[in-house]
Order: sequence, then structure tokens, then C-alpha cells
Amino acid sequence: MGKTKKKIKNLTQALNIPQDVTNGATIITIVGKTEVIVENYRGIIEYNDKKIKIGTRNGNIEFEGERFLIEYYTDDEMKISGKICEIKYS
Amino acid sequence: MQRLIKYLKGYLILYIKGFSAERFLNLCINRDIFIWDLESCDNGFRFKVSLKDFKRLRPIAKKTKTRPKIIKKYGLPFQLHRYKHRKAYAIGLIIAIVTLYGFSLFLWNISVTGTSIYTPENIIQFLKEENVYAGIKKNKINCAELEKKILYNFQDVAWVSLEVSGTRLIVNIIETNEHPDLVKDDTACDIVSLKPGIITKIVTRKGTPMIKIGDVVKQDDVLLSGTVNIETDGVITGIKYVHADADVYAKTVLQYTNTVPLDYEQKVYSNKKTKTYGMFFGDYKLYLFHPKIKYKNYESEANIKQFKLWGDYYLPIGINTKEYIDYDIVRKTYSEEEVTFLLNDTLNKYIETLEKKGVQIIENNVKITLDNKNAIAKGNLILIENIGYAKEIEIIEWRPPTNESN
Repeated sequence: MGKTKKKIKNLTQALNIPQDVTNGATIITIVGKTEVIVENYRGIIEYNDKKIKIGTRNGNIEFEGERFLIEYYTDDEMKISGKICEIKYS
Repeated sequence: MQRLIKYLKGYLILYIKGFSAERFLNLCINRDIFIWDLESCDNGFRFKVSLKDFKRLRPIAKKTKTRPKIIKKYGLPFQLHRYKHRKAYAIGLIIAIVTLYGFSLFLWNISVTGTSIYTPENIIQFLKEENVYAGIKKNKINCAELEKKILYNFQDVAWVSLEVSGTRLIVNIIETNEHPDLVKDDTACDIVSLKPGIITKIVTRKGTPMIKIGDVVKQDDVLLSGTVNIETDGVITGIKYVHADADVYAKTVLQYTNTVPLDYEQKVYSNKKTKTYGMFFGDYKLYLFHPKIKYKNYESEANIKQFKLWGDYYLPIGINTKEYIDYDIVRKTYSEEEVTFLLNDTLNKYIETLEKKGVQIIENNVKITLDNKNAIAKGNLILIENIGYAKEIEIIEWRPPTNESN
């Protein structure tokens, strides 16, 4: 399993194919200081107004800040607004 | 736009609490349930979900052992639900719309503009005889045909247009002093004299003149013939009929008499009035009260105010007021000066109307005489006016004279 994953990774790098298509990599678009749009994720693991933890295929992403609000939440995209202080990958 | 759609479909604000609240949300996403404005509060979440999706939440709630609590409902479906028990309200609204639409299919008001010789009442009366009156269906009105009928029946109308605007029929009339030719331009006609007179001027445009300047003509004499003989070498070989067209001016005599009695009655209005109000629906009038009139003599004046929706959308209902005005009769006698002034004034007004018609007045020998009871203005007016009018010819097939009879 690990081998095929690595092979795919190498192949996409060689062919310049976007990683989110082949690898399911998460796309995070940050607009200014107050808006984040997240694509390609599995779901919310933890959520309160100071912290949002999102589970993805390649580990978790944690946003820390203040007054978080999820404006919309669908199968492949979510929009978070609020004051963002930190983004952590784990 | 999106907000409007959301409003029309209806949505709810829900609150969920519990250990597996996040799981609940993830399950919602897996089942394609759209969630928006998700915020955390009081150890739980508050979010909005559409009414359609809300019904699908129940199995998820069961699975995650959470209980979504409805905080608020928004949107049209909920409002409609609230009005469900007010059936009379809904029925009333529908009836109001239907009746308004129904009313707009009918004609409720006729207005006539541009009349001076005829009164608007004349035209409305005529239209009523033609079955066009306030209260008929709009699609029964044939404007073009009515226009023709008005032109035919009212001699002094030069041009008329009928227009249905909203629930109102607008009749536009332009009056003329010349008789419009009732004979079409392309049919053969003669010019015939309207009254007796001495010809002073002939302007021929088409046709054969039968008279010269200075001729004395009687009524219905042919002035210009529309029959043109075709001659070759002095022998008539054929007849051509044309539409004779000419202005024939003649000196005519008009007898004028106007008698005014010296004793007359004058109304002296006191300021006493009694008013009553009412409503009308179509032809049906209803007064709120009928006042007792103590006046010996009185005039009554009625006013109607018809309601309209907007612009020309008149409704068959309105308010009418009736006013009774008290007056006294005072017997008076004209002095000589007063009566002369009165008679001269009416004569001058009469001459003015004649001149407006294009008639020239060359002599005026009206004299005023007074006897015991009356003042009389009497005399002749000598005028120069256009006396010709078109009259259709019956076409007789012309045959060249044959020699067989000889």
C-alpha cells in the first residue's frame, strides 16, 4: 500500500498533475484574516468557537482563532469565518 | 436571490448538544444534507437546515443519540401553516382578486371630449341606442363600426375616435361647421344647392358647372354636374361620371326673429342648502337619508364621483351627493335699455357662431321693436355662404343614339 502511494506521488510530480486530484490532498484557501475555504476533507473532528479540527486523508488540520462560524458545510467544501490565529497540521 | 429561495422553501434553526454532535454533522454531510451558518454555543451547535432536509435528520439523530431542538422556524411554508385556520381570510382575498378581475372585463365609464354643438349626453344617449353603455362587456364594443355610425348620424362631426382604455370608453370628437361629404371620394356625384340664393363665386375642381355667377338658384338645384359628356366632332359619343368637387358661394337671406317677454321671473338664491349623501352601484342609487325639504322652490343638484383603481380603471361604484338649493321667485320687468342690450347681445352671439362656420355677413337689418308685453328683434341677415353639397348620382347606362327609330 505504501509503495503504490509513493509511486502515485512520484508519477504526479513527474507529470505535473495537481495533487488534489490524484492524492486527495486538502486545499485550503485563506481570504484575508477572516475567511477560510477548505476542500477535500473527511469531516469535522472537533468544533467550538475557538478551535476547529478537520480530518483529512493525510492527517488532521487544526485552526485556532476566535469566533469561528461555519457558513456552509457540504460534502466537498466548507467555509469558515472568524478571526484566524494559527493553522496546524498534525 | 438565494435568500429568497431559502425563504420560499423554509428553513429552521436547530440546536444540538451532546458528545457525538460532530458525528451528527459528519453524517449529515455524508447524506447530502446541506447545513449552513454553523456556530458553536453552550457546548453544542446551532445551525440552519432547510425544511426538506429536516425530515431526513430523524434517522441520523437516532443513530447518534442526539436530539435536535428547534429554536426557530423561518419561511413561507411555516407562515402559510399559521394562516391555515384563517380560511375566511383566504377566501376573501381570492374573491377580491376575482371580482376585481371580473370588473375589469366590463365597461364602467364613458367620457366624451371635444363636443360643443352636441353635449356629451347626446353622444352617450346615441351610444346607448347602439347598445353601448356603462356595464357591458368590453369585447362587445366594435370601435370602428361605432365611429362610422357616429359620423353618419351626427352631421357636424368631422372626426371621431373611440378608444377603450382600462374600464373606460373615451370618445374623442372634433366638430366641424362644414358638412362632411358623406359621399365617398371615388363615387360619382353632383353638387346640389342646400338653399336658395344668388351665386357669387364658383371654385370648380371637378365637374361641369351648370350655373354662372349671378344666377338665382332654388333649393336642390344641381349646381355642378358630375356627368361629363365625351364629344368627338360635336357629337356625344359617351358619358363619364366623375366626383364633382367645388365650392359654390351664394348670397342667401336668413330670417331672424327673437322675442323676449318684458316681464320675467328671476331666481334669487338664499344661502340655504340641504345635502344628502349616498352610494351607487351601476344604475342602482342608494341615499343614506332623505331630507325633508321645507323650501317652497328649490333646485336639486346631483354630483357623482366614481371610484377608480388607477388611471382609467373605473369601478361601477361611487359616491353621489345631492344638494337642494332654496330660491325665491322675484317678478321683474325689463327696462328698454336692458332689453335692447339683451337682444343685441344674443344677436351678436348668433352672428359670431355664423362667422365661425365660415359664413360672411354682408347685411344686417335686424330692428328691435317694443310692444306692451314683448320686445322683438326681427329682420333679415344677408349672408354669403357655401351652399353646395355632394349628392350621389344614379348611374344610368348610356347608349349612343341609334338611327333605327328614325
